[in-house]
Amino acid sequence: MQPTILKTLALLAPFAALLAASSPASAGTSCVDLRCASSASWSDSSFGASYSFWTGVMTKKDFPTNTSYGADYLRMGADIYGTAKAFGVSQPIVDSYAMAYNNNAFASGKVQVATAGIVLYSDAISTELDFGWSRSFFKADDGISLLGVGIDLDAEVGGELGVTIYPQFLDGVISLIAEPYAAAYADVDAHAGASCASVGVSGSLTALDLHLPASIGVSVPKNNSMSVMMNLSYDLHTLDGKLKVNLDYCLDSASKTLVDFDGFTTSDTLFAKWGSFSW
Amino acid sequence: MKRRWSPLAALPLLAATLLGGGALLQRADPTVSATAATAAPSPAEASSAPNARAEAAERRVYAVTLSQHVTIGGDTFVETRLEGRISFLPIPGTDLTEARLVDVSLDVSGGESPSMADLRRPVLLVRDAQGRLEGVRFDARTDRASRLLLTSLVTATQSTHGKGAAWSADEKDGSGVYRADYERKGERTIARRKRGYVRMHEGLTPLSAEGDLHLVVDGAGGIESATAHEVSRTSRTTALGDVAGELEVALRLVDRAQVSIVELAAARALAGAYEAPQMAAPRQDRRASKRDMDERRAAGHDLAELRAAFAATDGQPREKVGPRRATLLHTAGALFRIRPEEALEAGKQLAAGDVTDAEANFLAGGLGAAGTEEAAHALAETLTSPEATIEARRQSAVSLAMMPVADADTVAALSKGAESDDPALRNLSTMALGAEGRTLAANGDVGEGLDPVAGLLARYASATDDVERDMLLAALGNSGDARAFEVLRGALVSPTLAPTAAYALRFIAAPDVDALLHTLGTTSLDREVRRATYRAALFRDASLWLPWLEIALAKENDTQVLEAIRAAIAHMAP
Repeated sequence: MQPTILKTLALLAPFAALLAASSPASAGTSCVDLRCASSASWSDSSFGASYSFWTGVMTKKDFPTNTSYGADYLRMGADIYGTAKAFGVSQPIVDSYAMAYNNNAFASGKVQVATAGIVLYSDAISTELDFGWSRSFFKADDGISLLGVGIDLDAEVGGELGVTIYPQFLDGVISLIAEPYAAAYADVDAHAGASCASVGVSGSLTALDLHLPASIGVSVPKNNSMSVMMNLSYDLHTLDGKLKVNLDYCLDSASKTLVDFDGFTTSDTLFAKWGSFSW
Repeated sequence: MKRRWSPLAALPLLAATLLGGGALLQRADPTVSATAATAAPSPAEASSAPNARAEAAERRVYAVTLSQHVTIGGDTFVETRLEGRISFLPIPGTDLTEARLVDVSLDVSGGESPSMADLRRPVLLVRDAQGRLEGVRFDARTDRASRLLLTSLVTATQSTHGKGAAWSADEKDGSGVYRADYERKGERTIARRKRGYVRMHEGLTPLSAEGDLHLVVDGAGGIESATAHEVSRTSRTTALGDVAGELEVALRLVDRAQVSIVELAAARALAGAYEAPQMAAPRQDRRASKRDMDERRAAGHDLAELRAAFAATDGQPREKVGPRRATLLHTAGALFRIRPEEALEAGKQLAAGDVTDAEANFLAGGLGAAGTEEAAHALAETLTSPEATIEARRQSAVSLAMMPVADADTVAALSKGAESDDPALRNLSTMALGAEGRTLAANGDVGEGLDPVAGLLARYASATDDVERDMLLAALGNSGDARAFEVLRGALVSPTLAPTAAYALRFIAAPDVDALLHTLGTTSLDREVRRATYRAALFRDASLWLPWLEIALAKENDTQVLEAIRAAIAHMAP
């Protein structure tokens, strides 16, 4: 099966190479100064996944004209967003971030973990946190009923999401070790509406497995310069697997492939630096 | 594999003469003859003469062939062929026609076979004043496959009265209501075209359909022959592929005879014993199919085994155990749905003081996956149990936030959690209270003493710092309650609170919200606010927001905000 890139994303240069892809391939990551980002989306009519992430540090250099940001402005951390689609139903399975800020001599931080639009945790960062939840994210169904043929299909997308955070706000130094993550897998059950029929489903599908560990320590900027010690990396495994329905329908049998994606796995360091950064 | 039946049942229907009623003989078979509009009697004529002595009725017998097959993804999946004879006996003074298959041979491949006894059992066709088929009445014992086949047969060849050279009517068949366009092709030939469905019967997959029916009528309007050909397909591609069906039915008059008063009385008696008219086959109960799927998923599993299996994955490389853990969770959910006592036991184990963090994750996740009242109450009891570990209580709050069940017990438990000494549990419970407010509203259960949103608003009003306010805004965002709108709008003026307030607008159903979000997205100087706005847009009406998002995509220059816009477009795009 050949997933197609969504039209809107196909317009975007970073994804152009994916247009001809017969299966998901890693989208490129883009690193500028001290920050990195990446996003991609794959889908067929029934199943799919998407992700985007941002990780790193932004400074006053990135907002030279914004007067509300002081010379000591910092925004640093990791942010992930991901969706999964089953039987045409797409849901955001994760919208999580852990960020530390500094602006005009005031340091703060915030963490949020959300799924399907429900914010599960949202608070200021003050101490070490380690959340991990294995949950069913959403369900979707499909099926047919035509001339007496009835087959019901139920999909359940579940997995894990969470975040680990270790913040430190010291005099003149801010450090944040953060790792938001989410993983979603699809299971399918089937039912045939005939007493002489049975249906089974085999296989499994990984929709998305994204971890974004960030380890960042910086000095509060002075004179357009700061010390930096950081390591940004990511682990991504997406849209991989096969789901097949095997039908024994009143003495006849058939099999239908619901989804068959050759996904990919990437584990890489996005950016590493130990030194100073000036602008 | 093919199966064939060639019953020897003789046609017990023919001959016999009734007294009088010559005028009604013209009506012949209402099921297939009423199309000859100019010759057909008026409904008033048809319903006259209930007196048996005045009755006369004619049974028309047709040779019938039916062929239907269903393909899925291009592969033939079900194929049915029927040959035999079918008779139609209008019952004078009623809107009923008795129809009866005889001398049937049937080949079924891949589909559910009708019982031959059921197939041979007479049915009653119910027609309206225009001769349109309103429904079919069956003996209660008739199996589903026979109902479907008989319904296909009689609906494919039905017709509606009309006058002039052309007329139209909305007709029903086993799938839904369609528009039938009739055209008189000659003195004795009428064509009917069927194009699509106006609406489907409840629970059926939306179909597109095309079909033609050719009728040859005699001078009195009775049908001499009917040939129908229909092709239907699902309007959308299903996960199994394109599903299409083809149906061909042909009738050819082979005999006609007046019936005896005894036969007529027998036909009338069916009306007192048969079910109410129906056109669609009994809808397959989705709850029953879901239960069947749960039973098969949970078969051979129990709580102890699932808990142990999940615990065994703890600490393993996630790429190896991730799918396994998700499957164990889904299986636990199915087990708790079909065996509520297992959900209660899981609750007891979750509330026990010796449960490990990994086990608490599994038990709370499984109860959340079950989504039942028993599961919700088990989680609520854990949340309030003095013996429960802090991790078990945190896990319970998260599951309650994600469940479609909320009531006084769960709200009370979360309210207690929101007052905990543990900051994380306080936060998780507060978020869950907002989510429960939305669930209660969706179920129409908000009432006196059961209004968590009112509690959140009161807490916001008395909050003394922005950290507390920010948390409460996030919780109010989970509720989607319109009462929070003014609070959220007020918070937008605070640079600290504005991003959370913008995102918290996402579920509130009011046009003002879209206008406000649009303004924020296009005018806010704070990139965090714009980003939160487009994340919120993801949950708004796509038809309204897609054009706005396309414009924003061209104008926005912040990379993170652009990502939020792209994500919303990707989510909303058809």
